[in-house]
Amino acid sequence: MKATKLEHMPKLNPHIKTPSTTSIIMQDVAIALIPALLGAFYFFGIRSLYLVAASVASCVISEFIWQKIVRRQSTIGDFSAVVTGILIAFNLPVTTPIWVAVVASMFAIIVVKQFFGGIGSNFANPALMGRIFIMVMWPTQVMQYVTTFHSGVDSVTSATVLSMLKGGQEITQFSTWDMFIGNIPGAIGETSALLLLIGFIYMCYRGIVNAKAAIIYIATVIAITFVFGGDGLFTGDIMTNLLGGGLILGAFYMLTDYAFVSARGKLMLAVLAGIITAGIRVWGGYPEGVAFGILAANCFIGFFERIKKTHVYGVKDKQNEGW
Amino acid sequence: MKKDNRITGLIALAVVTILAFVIIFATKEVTKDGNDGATTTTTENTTPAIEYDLEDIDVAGAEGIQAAAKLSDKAGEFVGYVVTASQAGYGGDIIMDVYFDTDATTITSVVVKEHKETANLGSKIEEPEFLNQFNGITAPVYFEGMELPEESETEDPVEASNPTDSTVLVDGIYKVEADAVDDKGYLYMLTMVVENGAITSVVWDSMNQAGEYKSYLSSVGKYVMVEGNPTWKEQADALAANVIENQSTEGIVLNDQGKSDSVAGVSITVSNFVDLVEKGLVLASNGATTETAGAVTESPAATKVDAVTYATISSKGMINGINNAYNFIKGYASGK
Repeated sequence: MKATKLEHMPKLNPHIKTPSTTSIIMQDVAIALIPALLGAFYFFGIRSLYLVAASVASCVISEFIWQKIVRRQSTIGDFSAVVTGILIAFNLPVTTPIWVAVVASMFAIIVVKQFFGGIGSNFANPALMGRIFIMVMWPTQVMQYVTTFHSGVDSVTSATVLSMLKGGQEITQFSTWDMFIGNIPGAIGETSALLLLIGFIYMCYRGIVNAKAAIIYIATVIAITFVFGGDGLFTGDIMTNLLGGGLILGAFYMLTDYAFVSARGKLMLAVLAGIITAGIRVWGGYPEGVAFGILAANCFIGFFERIKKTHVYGVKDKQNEGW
Repeated sequence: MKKDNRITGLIALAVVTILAFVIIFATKEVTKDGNDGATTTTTENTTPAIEYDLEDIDVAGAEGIQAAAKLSDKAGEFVGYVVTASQAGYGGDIIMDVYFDTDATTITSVVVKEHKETANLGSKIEEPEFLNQFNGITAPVYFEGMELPEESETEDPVEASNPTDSTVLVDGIYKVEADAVDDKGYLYMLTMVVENGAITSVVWDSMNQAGEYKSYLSSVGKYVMVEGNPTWKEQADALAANVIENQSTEGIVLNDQGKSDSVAGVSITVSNFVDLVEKGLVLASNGATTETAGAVTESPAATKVDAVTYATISSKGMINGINNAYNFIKGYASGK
């Protein structure tokens, strides 16, 4: 039987492709974090860059070594480890020992990310899990916040504005503008809402982020803290809750993790994360609840995945209107 | 998302970032004048307005003491002391000037010279609301919840005036009582008799709110401890005998529970007994007999002050610094 050579071989699926890849997306996220990184250097000095460098290097090396050990294809080229490293450092005060940041990075990449299959399969945000891990292990090393260099004197230990708010103190030394530009004590990457916002706008322009989820998360936190966070109902400090902690960083860069894909599910999780974050801030023992709120929402992903209805391609009816 | 918009996005990102930093720099310049000189590590000098002539005191070897001096007014009259103490706070060392009156016990004022405490929290140690409470009170000081200055560390006036081996006890009868009833409703008391300069009798007892003495109750079987063990009265007598034999409480070594293994057959708590004996010795060394003593008449006890709310560590640093300054100047004054 004579074989016939087909002139037009059908190409393999997927037949519809987008030029965006994980690598491009993660590069854009890293680019979006540059303004805040420069702000960290400006407000907290060269040591902030050391922290970021150590954290990024630890993440990349950990991922590379682990994938070598388990004989998997290296994914360090997708920049996800770089982004994780930057976010881990951004959640730490400048006084954090370098080795603590390294441990957090290793834990985030190896345990939280690689144990579960790598990017897209991790059950929680690796950067936040790394932060929580070292906060539990070495609380004193990761809670020493200092004032910014902007004050003009050697930085000294200082409570964060959220801590002051939690303690019922009037915040007189930091204005709303100080909180907006980042001239307040805090983690090196969370203080400047202005610079984080610039990066977020870049990500929106590039179409790589779910702005709705971020906005809904922020709105939920603000609403609850405003209603219940003050001395009486509807007396909560909106601006301090919005600008004083890690809400902006968490909403713009960590809530929209790519572990879950359903758009409606992301919005639901944003609300859930907002409720938990605000609940911790108002009724919990910690002044800040962003990390716990987002991680708690991450844990609900599996639940949402189980209860959502399976979408049947090619069929358009109410049965397919799931998550 | 179009691949070719990345360049545009990067350019826009760079431009906006530069603008943002221009704003941040401008903010710094605008607020710079207002922040000059205002630091969070040093405080404004609030040294008392009166100028003194200082006569330095040697502080070599005194831990936590940076400087000390005798103060004289312009007429040359001795008016008191000033001690510069350094004590660990929350963010770093707190350096303070503690001014004492001529008795080296009464604090005339406290000035915080330098600190690194948390803004709006521990930094309140430099505020008048906190510092003014020290004016005119006697050292040592403490705040609620803080351990009272230990006798060995702060030279408690009772400890400081405790008779040594060379102290002559004045003949007389000395009676002391505890400040308050214990948790079981008993008020402890002690009577000490000194004859020819020596302790010849010590009677330790306690009375409940019904007016019944523990010595009596234990003798008649109404205050029973462990069956077969010495009664409370017998144990109290054993303790008294030990004091008479040693002419002090040196023969009674207390453990953490306030008990002692030093005296055979004694298993009761003896810390209050030791305390009362020592107070009695103070009275005896001063000759303050029952007729004049009444209750314990030791030098003024520790004075209670208020801590800065939510700043326990900073407050404790201040208190410890003041007490350390007091210890130093008291030792200097008594050794002149």
